[in-house]
This record gives sequence, C-alpha cells and structure tokens, in this order.
Amino acid sequence: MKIKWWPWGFLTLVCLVLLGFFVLYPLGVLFSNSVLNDEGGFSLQAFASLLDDADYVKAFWNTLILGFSVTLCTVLVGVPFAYMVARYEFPLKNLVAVLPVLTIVIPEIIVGQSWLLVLGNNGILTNLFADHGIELPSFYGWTGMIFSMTLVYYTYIYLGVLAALRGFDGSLEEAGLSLGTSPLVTKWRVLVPVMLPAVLVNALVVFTLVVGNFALSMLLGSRVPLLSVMTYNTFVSEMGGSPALQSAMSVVSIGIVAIVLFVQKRVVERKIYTMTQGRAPAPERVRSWKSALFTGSVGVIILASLLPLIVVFIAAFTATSGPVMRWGSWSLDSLTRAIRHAPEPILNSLQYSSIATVVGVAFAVLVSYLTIKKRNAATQLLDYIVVLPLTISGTVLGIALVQTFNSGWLVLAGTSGIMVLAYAVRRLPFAVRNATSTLFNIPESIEEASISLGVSPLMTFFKVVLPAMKASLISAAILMWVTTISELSASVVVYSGGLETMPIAIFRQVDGGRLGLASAYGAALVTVILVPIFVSIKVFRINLFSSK
Amino acid sequence: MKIKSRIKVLLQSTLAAVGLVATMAHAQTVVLYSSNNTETIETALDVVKKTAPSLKVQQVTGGTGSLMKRIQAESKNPRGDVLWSGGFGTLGAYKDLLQPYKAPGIEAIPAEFRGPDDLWIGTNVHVMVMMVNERQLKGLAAPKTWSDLMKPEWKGKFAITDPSKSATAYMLVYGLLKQFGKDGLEKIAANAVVTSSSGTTYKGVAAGEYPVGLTIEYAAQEYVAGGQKEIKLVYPSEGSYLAPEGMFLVKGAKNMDAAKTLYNALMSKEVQEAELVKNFRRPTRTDIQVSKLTSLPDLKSIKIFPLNQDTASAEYEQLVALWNIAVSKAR
Repeated sequence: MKIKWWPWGFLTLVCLVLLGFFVLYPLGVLFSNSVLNDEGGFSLQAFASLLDDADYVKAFWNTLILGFSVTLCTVLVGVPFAYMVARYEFPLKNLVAVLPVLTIVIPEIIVGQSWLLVLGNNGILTNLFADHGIELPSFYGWTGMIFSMTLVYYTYIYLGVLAALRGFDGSLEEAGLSLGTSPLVTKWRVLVPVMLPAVLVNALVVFTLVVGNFALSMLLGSRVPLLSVMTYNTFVSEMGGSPALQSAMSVVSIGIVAIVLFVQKRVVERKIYTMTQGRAPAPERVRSWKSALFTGSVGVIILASLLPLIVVFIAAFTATSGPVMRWGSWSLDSLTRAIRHAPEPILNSLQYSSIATVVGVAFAVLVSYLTIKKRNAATQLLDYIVVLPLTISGTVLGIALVQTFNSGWLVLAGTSGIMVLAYAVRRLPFAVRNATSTLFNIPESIEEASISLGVSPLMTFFKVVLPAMKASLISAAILMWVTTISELSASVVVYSGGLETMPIAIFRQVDGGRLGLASAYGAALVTVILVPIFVSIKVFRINLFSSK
Repeated sequence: MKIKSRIKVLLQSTLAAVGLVATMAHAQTVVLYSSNNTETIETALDVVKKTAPSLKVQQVTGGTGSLMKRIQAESKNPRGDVLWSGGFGTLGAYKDLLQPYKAPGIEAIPAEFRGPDDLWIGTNVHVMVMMVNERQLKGLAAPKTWSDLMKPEWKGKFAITDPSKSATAYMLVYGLLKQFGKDGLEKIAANAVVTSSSGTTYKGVAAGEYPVGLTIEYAAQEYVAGGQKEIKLVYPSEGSYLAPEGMFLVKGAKNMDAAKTLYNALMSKEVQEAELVKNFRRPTRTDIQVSKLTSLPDLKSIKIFPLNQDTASAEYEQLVALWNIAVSKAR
C-alpha cells in the first residue's frame, strides 16, 4: 500500500536518519579505519598483521571452539530439562517457573565473580576440598568459562524447546503408536522434527552470545586468548595511536556473527514447522525412583543457577580485610561504602538506564509500528537496519562509538550521552522484537474504523494502538531496563571521568581484588533488576518472557 | 503534531540531563585519573575533604599505561586534570603531556623521588618483592633470589606483568635487565607467565592461580595483613628494586587551580601517613618512619639494587622491545 507522506512517511525518514547516524555511520567509520593506513591511503595491512599474529589466530580458533563447546553443553542441559518439564509432573516443577527470569537477568559479571568465590583456586569449596586432601582442577581457563557460560546461556535453549513441546500436537504421536510403531521410534520420528528448529535457532543465539561475551571471558579466561578480550586490550593499547588494528579485529568479530545470523536466516528458519490447533499431551505423573531422579536433576540445575545470587548477597554482608574475605564474619562496611561513600556508580546506572529505556521503548514502538503496519520499501529497510546491532558485540559497538564521536561536529565521548547511546543502540533490537510481537495481533480493522470515523491517523495511533500495546510496552520497558542496567562490554569501552556504572564498578573492583565491595555493588545491581520484574509480574500480571 | 512535540520534549529532556551533569562537573571540580584501587583513593580523599573541603573530585580508574594513553588521546581536549601514580619510567616517556609545577613544602621529599624540572613528584615508593602463595608451592622451596626463578623447575610457576602495561612492572623488568643482563632476562621470560595488568598478577597469586608473583610490596602486604596466612613477602637477597610513583598535572587541564590544590594535598604528610597505615603505601617523605607505623621494614633495612630513574625512562622503548623479543623467543 502506498502511504501518505505525513505523518508516516516523514517519521520513517526520521527513523532512518537516526539509525543511519547512530548505527550505520559508526560502523562505516569502523570499517574505513580498518582499511586506512597512517597516511590515509587504502591498505589491508591491519588484516595482514592479524594473520601474522600467532596469538590472534589462536584467539580466533579459541573463540570458535568456545562457542561450539558452550552451545553443545547448553543443548545437553537445556533439551532434557525442557522435555522433563513439558512432559512430566514431579515435585519442584513449579520452581521452574522462576528459572528463566533469574538466569536471564543475573549479570554475567556477577555470575563469574560468584563462581570464582566458590570454585576459584582460593574459593570456598576449593579450600574445603583441599583441607580434606582433594584437589579440584583449576577453575580458570576453559573449565570455568564453559561451566559458567553454560549456566548463563542454557535458558535460551530451555525456553525455546519448552515452547515447541507445548505447541506439539499429541495426536501425531498417538497416530504413530496406533500404526504399530514402537514408542521410542515414534518419539524420535515425530518429536525431533518439531524440537530441532527450536534447538537450532536458539543454539545459534547462544553461539553469537558466547562469541561476543566479554565479562566472563575477562574474569575467567586467564591464559586463554579470546577475540573479545584481545579486541578490548587492543583498543586500550591503541588509544592515542592508529585505530587500524582494533578496527580490523572488530570487523572480524562482526563477520563471524553476521555469518551465523545469515545461516540462521537462510537455512534454519526455513525448516520451522508451525502447528495450528495443537493440543499438547497432558503431563505424565512419575513415581518412585523416576520422581527422585527428575526432582534431583531439576534441583541441581536450579541450585547452580541460583548460586550466584546467593553468593553475591552473602559476600555483600561479609567482613573484609583489604582484599581478603572473612567468611563467617558479618559486616555492613561494604554496603555502606557502596551506597553512602561511593554512590555515583549506582546513581549513574539508574540515570543512564532510565533515559535509555524511555528513548529505546519510544523508538521501538515507532519502528515496529512502521514496519508492521506501514510496510513498504523504506520501512523494510528500516526493519533490516534496526536489527544490525545484533551482529555487534558490546566491545565492538563501544569501539565504533568512541571512534566516531570523539571528534567532529558532535562530540559525545566523555559525556553521559555516549553511555545512553551505547545502551539504547545495543538493546534496541530486543525492544523492537517485543513491540512487534504484539502488533501482529492487533487487527487493522480497529484502526481503520477509528480513521473512518474522522479521527486523524496520529490520534488513532495514540488512542487505539498504544493502549492495545500496553502490556507489551511495559514488558519491553522492563527488558530494556534489565538489559541496559547490566550492560558492561560496550560501556566499559566508552566510559570516562564520572561516568562509572554499577557493572563497571563491579568489574573494576573484581579486577582490583576487592570482592567485598564488588559484591556490594552486585547486590545493589541485582536488587535494582529484580524489583521492577517482581512488580511487573505481581502487580501488572505481565508474563515478561512469553514473547521471547 | 503531538508525536513530533513529544519527541522534541524527549530530546530536550535528554539534552537537559546531559547539560545538568556537565554544569555540575565544572563547579570546583577536579578530574583525577588514578591507577590506585578504591581504598587507596578513598583514604586520600577522606583526608583531602578535611584539608581542602571545597574540592569535588571525579575519578577515572584504570591501569597506568591505559590512563597515559587516554591522556595522550585526549591531549587536544584534555578531560583529566591530575594523574596520580605512574611510575617515573612511564611518566618520563610522556613528558610532553605534563605540566611543570613546584609545590610548596617540596623539600620533605628527597631529590631522587622528584621528576626533572618539577614535571612530577613522587607520592609513594614501591619496593619490588616476590609474593609467595605457600599453598601453591606444592613441594617447591620458596625462592630467595631473583636468580632462583631462572632455574628450570620454575617454568610456568610465577607471574610477571607485561612491562608495557604497568609502570611498576616496567621498573621490575628494567631492574632485572640491569642486574642480570640480557641472558638473565631471557631466562626469566622463558619461565614466566606474563599477565596484562599488575592487578592480575598479585590477585592471581592470592587466588592461587600462580605460586609466586613478581609484584609490589603493598599489594602482597594487603593479603598478609588481611589474614591470608599462606601469603608471604620475600625481599630478594640480591637486592630489590625501587619504583617510585609520581603524580603530575595534565598540561592544558581545564581545572588547573583545583588541580594544584589536589596536588598539594596528595603529597602532604597527612595523606602519606594515612596511605601507609591503611594501604601499606611506602611514603616518599623523609619525615615518616615506616617501621614504627607498620610491620613493614624501613627502607634502609632493605638491600636495594640502585636504578637510575631517568635512564630507565630514556630506555623505555628499547626495553619493551627487548622484552617482547625475549617473550617471543621463549614461546
């Protein structure tokens, strides 16, 4: 349909200009810096020197290996878990309802820090075992990274497969059985085609998250070279000098993720089976040893997922002597210092996330409305550009923004503006996806009725469409809030004097060996994350994760 | 029109918020770039609040090397005013970025702990030590000399920080080169695990990741004083190296008067004593006696292998290149 210039054509143009300037332009600067030499001429020297760098090549392969390893582990944990929950009734099952909330919203840096406190070479469990003559393997390196990343990311697999299983029509399975096929073969032939797309789609998401991961790689990677850490360290080393190397590294990181997303788009999504009018089979109640096994399995997973929360709060109230934790002794010193003496990180986080959430949700609503309800070539282009940040890890985004806005007519580096921008750009795709899912369900006839009664298109939007999107708006706002306030890998690159946030403070304190103070900020961060989630679920009765 | 005006209000609110922060930032504000940890900064600023109550100090923290590169990157539009604690060698490599300033009361600090032409002044002096985690030695005898670490059994057993990433690590590696020559340095490099920041080294020893770390006195002492019994400090009998840390005013600083006030306060006896007692930072001032205030030895009780800080500064590029070659050769 051809749309009138005012207001939708004009707003489409505004959105394209904003995305062009704050997303495409920084990427352009990044790409051009990677192929320009010091004299401003074209050169592939930066890429050539990456190939010559043994550490970089090793980091490249390590990153891919880590991506595959963690993805495989998340599938091995998430799929059986989802199957148990979808098909069986057993004690503790109701606890599973809170699991996705907790694992998705706990910041990675807190997960890493907590597991170090427990399993690091000087960890509580490590020392406990050592006192009894048992030496645990070192948590640093591959062990710690794969373990903690699996615990962080398996939820994506779990949620995806759970949704697929609940949409499954049990009559297909019954048909197979009635034709004489054995139960095992029936399950294999009927269930796998349904679960496989969900597994593959979410596995690719996990892979991209692992490749771009920064906090856990930095804290636990130790001697293992990885792209995200190496890119960040190169950025730090190259400040004041030529940005060619950091730019080339960033381009490679974007390339990896872009290839994965391309595979996802072109291959995986074509295989998705959609069932209509499905009736999932009722969960089967299990008895005796099977019940104990299922309850035990779920219990272990829940405990492992919740442990970082428990540890960070205990540590926040634990007495410290300098860098040494005095476990078993309680104190309010760490919390007092974080909240009263050095509250700036907390205040900064609240401020930047609030602004980014408002800006992000407003923009997301507009973009999703234009792309769903006013579809044309321009809005289609808008749809593609708005998901571009998904191909960019936080570190790379931070580098692009610093390179772009450190000089020229708009200087944002050194201001809170660049922090808000990094937050909003990085998390915008999530907000758009959330808003889009609701718009699909709003019939166009309601909107057309309003317009035919003489109400202007803009008034119709505010009076009819926005109220219908209310639940989705709140959900998008909370997701935007949760993900921006825990953001680290972009903001640690762009921040400067007076702009420190809670995740940056945690990162700095962990890096300096101050686990008590880091835990105090961690407890504050988790509290600020969980309170709005609790309010939204209990007060507004919004199912936050139904659209994820 | 409503959506347009709403966007306008939104943008104005955002810009107002940014402007508000910027406005507050200019009132009696001084931006301190510091490689020190939170407690060290807090201890100093707690004293500064009493001696210079009008100052509002904003902080950017990070490694010394990172902060120097940041100051260099920002040299056309400086955002920092004071850098507190960079090794003399590192400071010497960036002289163009430093603003000369002769502070009142400077006589209390000996000439060896001051920079040339009043470019910087030493606020504390580190002594290089071997930090040992006895729990991780696993049968290996604790080292007594730097030379011990050149033996084959120490391969992969001790950590040292990349000298291009840390001012103190630079002085350590420089000292090893001067005392043991190129061959000795290469043996150390062959056995060492090289880390990317000084914090990683001593934190790694405390966390049991490395049995030994070549690090600075205060960092190891924090764990001893904190009650971690397996941590010990070893002052090598061949002689330790000193790494005085200095602060300077950033050339072109936007808040120069406030910066000078902060500078004077940070070198005062009150601040240096507080830092020694609470954070084990050895003072540069001669009017403070270390052994009476802490369990650390006085400087004259420690055997020191003397290093020329100016020469160390001048040879920065060559040493880093030499170290990188030694590390590559060991790989």
